[in-house]
Amino acid sequence: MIVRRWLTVLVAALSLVLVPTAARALWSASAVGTTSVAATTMRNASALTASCTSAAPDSTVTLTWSPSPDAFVGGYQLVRTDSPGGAQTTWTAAAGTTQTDAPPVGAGRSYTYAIQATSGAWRTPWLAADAAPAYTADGCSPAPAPAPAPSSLMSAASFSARGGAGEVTSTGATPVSGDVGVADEQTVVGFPTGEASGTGQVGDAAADQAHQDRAAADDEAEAEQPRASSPET
Amino acid sequence: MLPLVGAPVLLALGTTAHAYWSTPGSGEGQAGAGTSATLPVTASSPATASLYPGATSDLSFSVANPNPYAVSLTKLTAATVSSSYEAGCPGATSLLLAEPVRTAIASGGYQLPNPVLVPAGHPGTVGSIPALVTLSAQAPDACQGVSFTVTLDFSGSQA
Repeated sequence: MIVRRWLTVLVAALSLVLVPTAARALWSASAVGTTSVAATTMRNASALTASCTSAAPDSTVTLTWSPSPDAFVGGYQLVRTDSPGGAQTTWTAAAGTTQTDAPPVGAGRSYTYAIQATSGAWRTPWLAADAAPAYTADGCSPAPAPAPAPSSLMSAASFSARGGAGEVTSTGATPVSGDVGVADEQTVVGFPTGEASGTGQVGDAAADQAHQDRAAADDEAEAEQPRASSPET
Repeated sequence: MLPLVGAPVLLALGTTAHAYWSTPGSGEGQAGAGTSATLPVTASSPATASLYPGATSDLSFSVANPNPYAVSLTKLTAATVSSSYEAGCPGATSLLLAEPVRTAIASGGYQLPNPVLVPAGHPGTVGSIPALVTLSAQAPDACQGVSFTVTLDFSGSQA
């Protein structure tokens, strides 16, 4: 009996220990390892140009560039290197896409420019300008890019009134500044009465050449001008 | 006599159970928790080069679970950084842990805002800690294009 009671007590005790323990015990866990992130590489401005924007004796140089595609770029450093001598002048452009500079004036001098983007301590490599302005006896060059050259009229330039396979007719005292001509042996009517300051060229080689040159100039001009777009069909 | 036969069995079972719950590791008294096999942490995807001076980034990772039960990771207990170019861009001073995280780790662990639940035997559950790291605004120029390796230690428990 004593043994049986002892066993009963023992079983009860074990139950009391095991049940609550199993209910609350959990395995602890740990995880270890690596992951990674990376820093980008900052991109510079592009298409830096440097050209003179004032006549001699001034030497104002205007710099223009396309901005970096990285929005976090905080500004730009610009540097001018003088020649001869190699002296360098560096300055900061906080934002924008243009700056002006007034380098030392003197025939024989030239200036090279370069730009780099900045963000904090970050710098891009320098990008040199496409052209190096130079100061000659005639002033600073290169000048700003000129407007597109007009089409050359060649020999047709001297003609103010010109006909192709037809005639030129003046119906009064029309003043014409320049030559009057018709190709293909056609006629000029109304001169005099009409008043031309140049010569009349009727069916001769000069009139033929002028006609051809004018046609070529027309073709050239047409090729350079954008056409209005046609509606899609 | 039956009880006399059964007692050793019960005793043996009880002993076995006791040993099971007392596997070396942290525990709750004599019958405390055991320790799981360590869960490996790896990068969840190739690192995207997106950091620049002053930029903050989430940190994503993948956790596998070799254990036969689900695990929930709840705390970040350590985080260290190294870079692919330590000489010019020291990881520890260039890539900074968010201040609350740094402070919490020093005090025992950073409670993850989104605990990572990894199913039993899962090959890789993706987790993320938002806004965990910032590339210092004073990060050296040499940090451009550099990769940073972040070693993470998590703690948790059987889910």
